[in-house]
Amino acid sequence: MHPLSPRLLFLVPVATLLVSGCTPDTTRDRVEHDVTATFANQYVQSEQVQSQPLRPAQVRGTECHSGLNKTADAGPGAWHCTISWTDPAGGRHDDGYVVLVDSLGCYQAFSDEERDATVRSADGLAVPDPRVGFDGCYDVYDGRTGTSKA
Amino acid sequence: MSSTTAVFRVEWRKLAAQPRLRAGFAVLLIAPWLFIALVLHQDRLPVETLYGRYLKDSGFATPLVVLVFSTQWIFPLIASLISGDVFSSEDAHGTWKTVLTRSVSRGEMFWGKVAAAFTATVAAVVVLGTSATLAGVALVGSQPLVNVGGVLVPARSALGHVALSWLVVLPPVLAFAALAIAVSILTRSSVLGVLVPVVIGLVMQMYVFLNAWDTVRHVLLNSPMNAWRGLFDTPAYTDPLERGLLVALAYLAASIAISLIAFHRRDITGG
Amino acid sequence: MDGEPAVRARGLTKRYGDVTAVDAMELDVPVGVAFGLLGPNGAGKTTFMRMLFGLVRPDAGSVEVFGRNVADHGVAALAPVAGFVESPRFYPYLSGRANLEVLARLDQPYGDGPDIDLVLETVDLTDRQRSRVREYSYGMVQRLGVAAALLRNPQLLVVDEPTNGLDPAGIRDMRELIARLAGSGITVLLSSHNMLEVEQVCDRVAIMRRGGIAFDGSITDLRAMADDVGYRLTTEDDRRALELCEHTPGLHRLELGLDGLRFEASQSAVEDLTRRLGAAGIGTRELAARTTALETLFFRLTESRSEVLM
Repeated sequence: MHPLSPRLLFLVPVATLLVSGCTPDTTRDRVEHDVTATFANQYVQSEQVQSQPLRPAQVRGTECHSGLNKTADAGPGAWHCTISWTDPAGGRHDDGYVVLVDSLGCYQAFSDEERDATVRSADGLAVPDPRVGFDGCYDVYDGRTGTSKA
Repeated sequence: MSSTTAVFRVEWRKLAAQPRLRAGFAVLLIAPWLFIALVLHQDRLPVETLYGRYLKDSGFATPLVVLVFSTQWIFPLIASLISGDVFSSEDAHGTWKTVLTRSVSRGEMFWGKVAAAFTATVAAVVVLGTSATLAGVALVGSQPLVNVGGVLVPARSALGHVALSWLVVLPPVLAFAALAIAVSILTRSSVLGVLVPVVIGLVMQMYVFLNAWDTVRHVLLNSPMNAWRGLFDTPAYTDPLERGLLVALAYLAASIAISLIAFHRRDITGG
Repeated sequence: MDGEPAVRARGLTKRYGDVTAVDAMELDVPVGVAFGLLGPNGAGKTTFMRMLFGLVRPDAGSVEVFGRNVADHGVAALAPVAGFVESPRFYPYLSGRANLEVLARLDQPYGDGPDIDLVLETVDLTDRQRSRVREYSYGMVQRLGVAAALLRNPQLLVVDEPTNGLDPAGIRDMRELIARLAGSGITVLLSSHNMLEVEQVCDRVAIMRRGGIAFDGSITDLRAMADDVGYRLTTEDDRRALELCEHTPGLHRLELGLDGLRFEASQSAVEDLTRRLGAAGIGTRELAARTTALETLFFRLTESRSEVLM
């Protein structure tokens, strides 16, 4: 019997992966970065649905905090994000979003106030505003490892 | 090789003759249609599931939502039901001595059975994925779909992403199948061969929910199972896919190696 | 292949934990004979046959089939062999015919395949070939086992207790079938615990005892060794009869049971005994042969009791 060979076959990659880093998958940096980017895209969609001329919103920044891990701001669960953006007309907005982050790097974002907001599409139908609720995912292996503690 | 092919064809015939397997495939074929039909008859959408909010907007959301559900426990179950039984059913029927006294070596028997189990597992995944896509397109339509980067993706491209997403779950699904094969060879029990991998799948799933050490999660099969999510982002990312592939291959290789050694060494005393 | 025996075991040994199932077994089965392997349950017949089929790996020694070592050559060595160990097993959810088709595929992946109709005809299962094996009687499964073996057109047919579970007519047919196959030039290795069966079907016999060979020779040799027959005697006074028997020469394994005296004796010793009983005034109620001379010898060689086996 060669019990070692199959066991080694298993242990080597496991050990490699274990050594490869101990930072949490869900970090403040990753959530903030991805919510910002996805919101910007959803905003474009919202404009497109309403057949507005393409004028991207200026997202000035997003601040997110974990509802569970308040000291480090890391880990999955319910987060709260404030997206600060400027509309094409120059109006400044600070919108709150509940962001439900799963442990595998994806989330669902819901606007605090306008959860069921609709916009009127070109053919006159009321459709959900893409801006007020969206899904997103981020790479849990990228370099955005910063949390509030770090 | 020709004997391996013979074993493969025999196993395929035996699988097809089992009503349990045929019923299972029928469920995989019908379930997505029922699911999307029920969703369309409701006001509420499963918005807390990835792509759930787009189920009524684009037919391509259906196969992706079904994929999210399937990665949790349906795939481990499918893999176990098929593969957990392919070896130990011979123990249950006492037929090892019947088939191993024909002109087939143990190696040929092993690889033929593994190939049949893997093919059937892949077929089950393909049937479910195809059925879900057809159900979505037929009952909702082939509208463009918003991806997880917030970008509207045209139908043709969305279909490609759906197909790719279902394709890249195959390595971890086959890893579960290999796990089931190893358990069924070591325990010689169909019940354990099916049950143990499902339990392992559930434990891994529970670990994912349990907000614990992330590094451990990276070496569980859930990581490769969910790595497809990054492909449908803008910009797309493949780190989880690449690492996940390694994890799945490690499980696959270890399980197959253990199975092969155990199968070669065992004395056929029963039956 | 000329000159090589069909089966040759040398120093063949298999242990299961502390139990040595087969112990340095030496055996030659010549080509073209019907060879009986006799022994009580647990003597090691089944373990030997499993090693012959490559199902169980020997701990020591080797078994060769037509000159090729099974451990080294695997399925290639076993190409001319077919048969079954213990009761044959099939997939219950497939029909008898489908089972044979599946096995034929494993024998010849790309060949035309043997004539399944013919072997079904041979074992008289043509009428039930479409029924699932689940619905077969024990005897039908036994016959399907022979059919599955015949599919391989074997030069060596190995059958283990082939008449187990058959009704008297089935037993007769099965023995005839095996005798016919043996007559057609196939080497037959028949394992049995039934002396009578081996006597009817085989030319040569080996008797196994505790993992080794206790006798190996022709049936004629065995007959020559067998003088004593097992008897049962009941009289009007079994206690006095027992005393008398104890002083009668040529009586072996004497014992008093609930149904009378049991002993083994040659013909002349029995004749002597009856004369003595008459002289002593003990009335004989019944004197019956319980086992044939060969069976008596078999029980003596294997140190087993007839009660256990019959």
